[in-house]
Amino acid sequence: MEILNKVLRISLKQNSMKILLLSLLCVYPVVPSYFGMDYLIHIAIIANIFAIVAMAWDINGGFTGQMNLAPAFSFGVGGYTSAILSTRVGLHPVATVIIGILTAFMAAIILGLPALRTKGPYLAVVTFSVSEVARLLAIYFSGITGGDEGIGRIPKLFQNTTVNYYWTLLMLMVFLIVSLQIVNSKLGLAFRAVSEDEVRAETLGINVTKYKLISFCVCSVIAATAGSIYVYYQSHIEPQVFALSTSVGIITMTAVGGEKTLVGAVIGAYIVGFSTEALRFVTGPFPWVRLAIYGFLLTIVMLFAPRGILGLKRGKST
Amino acid sequence: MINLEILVNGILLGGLYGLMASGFSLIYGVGKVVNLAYGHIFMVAVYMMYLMTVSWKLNFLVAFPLTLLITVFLGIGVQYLLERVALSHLRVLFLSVGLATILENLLLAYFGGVYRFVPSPIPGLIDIGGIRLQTYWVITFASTLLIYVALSAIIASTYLGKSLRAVSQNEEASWLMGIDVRKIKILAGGIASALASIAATFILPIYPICPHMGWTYLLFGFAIVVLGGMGSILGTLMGGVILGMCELLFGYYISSGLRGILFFLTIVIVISIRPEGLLGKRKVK
Repeated sequence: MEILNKVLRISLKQNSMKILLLSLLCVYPVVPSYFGMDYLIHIAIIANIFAIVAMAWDINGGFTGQMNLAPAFSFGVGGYTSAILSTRVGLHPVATVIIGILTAFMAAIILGLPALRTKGPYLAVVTFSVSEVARLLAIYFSGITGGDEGIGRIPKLFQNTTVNYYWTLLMLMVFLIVSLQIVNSKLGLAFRAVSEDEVRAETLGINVTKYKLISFCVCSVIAATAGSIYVYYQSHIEPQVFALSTSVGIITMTAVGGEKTLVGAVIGAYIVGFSTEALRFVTGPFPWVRLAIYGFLLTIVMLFAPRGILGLKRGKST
Repeated sequence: MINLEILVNGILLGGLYGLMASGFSLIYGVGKVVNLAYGHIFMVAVYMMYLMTVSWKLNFLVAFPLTLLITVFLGIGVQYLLERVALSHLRVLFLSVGLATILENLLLAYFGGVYRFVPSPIPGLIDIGGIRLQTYWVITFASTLLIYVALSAIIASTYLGKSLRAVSQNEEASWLMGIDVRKIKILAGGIASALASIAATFILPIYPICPHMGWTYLLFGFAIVVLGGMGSILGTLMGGVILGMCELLFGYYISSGLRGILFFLTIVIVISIRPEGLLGKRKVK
């Protein structure tokens, strides 16, 4: 453990590590596509998409300290809006994405309103409830949403897996840069102030209510975009995206990689994505295995490295 | 005209919900952590009872203490782990969700995702003033009330109860008075699990069971506790009764498919309008 700690501390200190990681991501599809293992690229694409959501959650849950247990809610709202508009109405993907973002924006305000009245664990359950309501509604109004089956046969944006990979990687990079900009701006400073101590932030002239709501909206908009990207890649969406397991998966990614880092969310998404898929090969196609792994990963990380993998380099975990 | 039979059944059912929720309330009141794995501890108790009474055909008098014991140990273990990270709400959340996911999927692995039914051990109906009620429901409700009385007595007069109240009121002062706060908090987790396992035993023949229902029961519990006010035993019973009635009436008059939404809406609306609950005291900032 100590040696691993040292190695991480040295390697992550330099920017070269980031460049290495980035170039690794860029050349990643070459080997699998050469051997025709599209499945490996598929896992990476899913990891890319969920990394965007995990980053969005990190802005809200990590930097602003809001216990938002429903990143899957915004993700699903964006995804469903795009899916419904493209299959039922036949709009252009770009238009559906924009409307999806607007819907998610309004959804974020609905989600954020109770958040202004409560905090901490109450908020966790409120957000979770909102997500569950969305899931039940998606099942109930089967005329529009397709019920339990969900919506299928949504036209794909790109057919080629490798192209899809670079497309999602591009999106990931764009959102990583945008998120880093947000977090390092004055807005991000306000977010951090809110998460540290609300009363103190208020006395320093920060409008806590406003910044909490902004944080929810930023998270929601990014997650909704990722939802649309997901739908146009998978060409399928079902009510289960709203389930707690999706949110737990997303939060696990952030927690494993390290909260309040953004890059950690990307690393976490890849670790969670590949470890669950790798174990799926070992254990066979039991869906519960994947979820149990989320649970084990989350438990172990929380008990032994509460700040995640990137948190290890910052020295002793607190 | 509201169907009286449904109303009374709702009250009987609500008592059980209240019993389940009181454990959740206890954990929050004393331990100051929200244990999101509570619903799954409850489910473990339900499945233990199922395994022992239906699969192994053990006597109830053997099965119940065993279930109680297992659940209490599980509750103590979960509470012990949560205590380790109790300083950060976010980590408590992560950890308890992680534990809940593990429990859920272990149950899923062993029992499968199918719904299982258990026939009522005491069949038959009784007639009270023209309202026909299931005997089993009446008996469980009476037992629930008894347990409530016992719980209130324990909390009001024993040393353990006094320590529980002391810790929930002021941790530092309790330390200074010589109470082992950590031990009391972990014990609170154990007592809560005992309440959960009693409620689980009662509910088992009433509802079909499925490993995923831990989250539903967690939300039931949370909705009740939020409605009644955190840390109030009487409020929890009342919250349970109100939600039990609403659930059955909603299922009867509107739609049982959307029944779940009622609970979620209750939580969202109550928290948005009156965060301290119906009976909770309003805190002055």
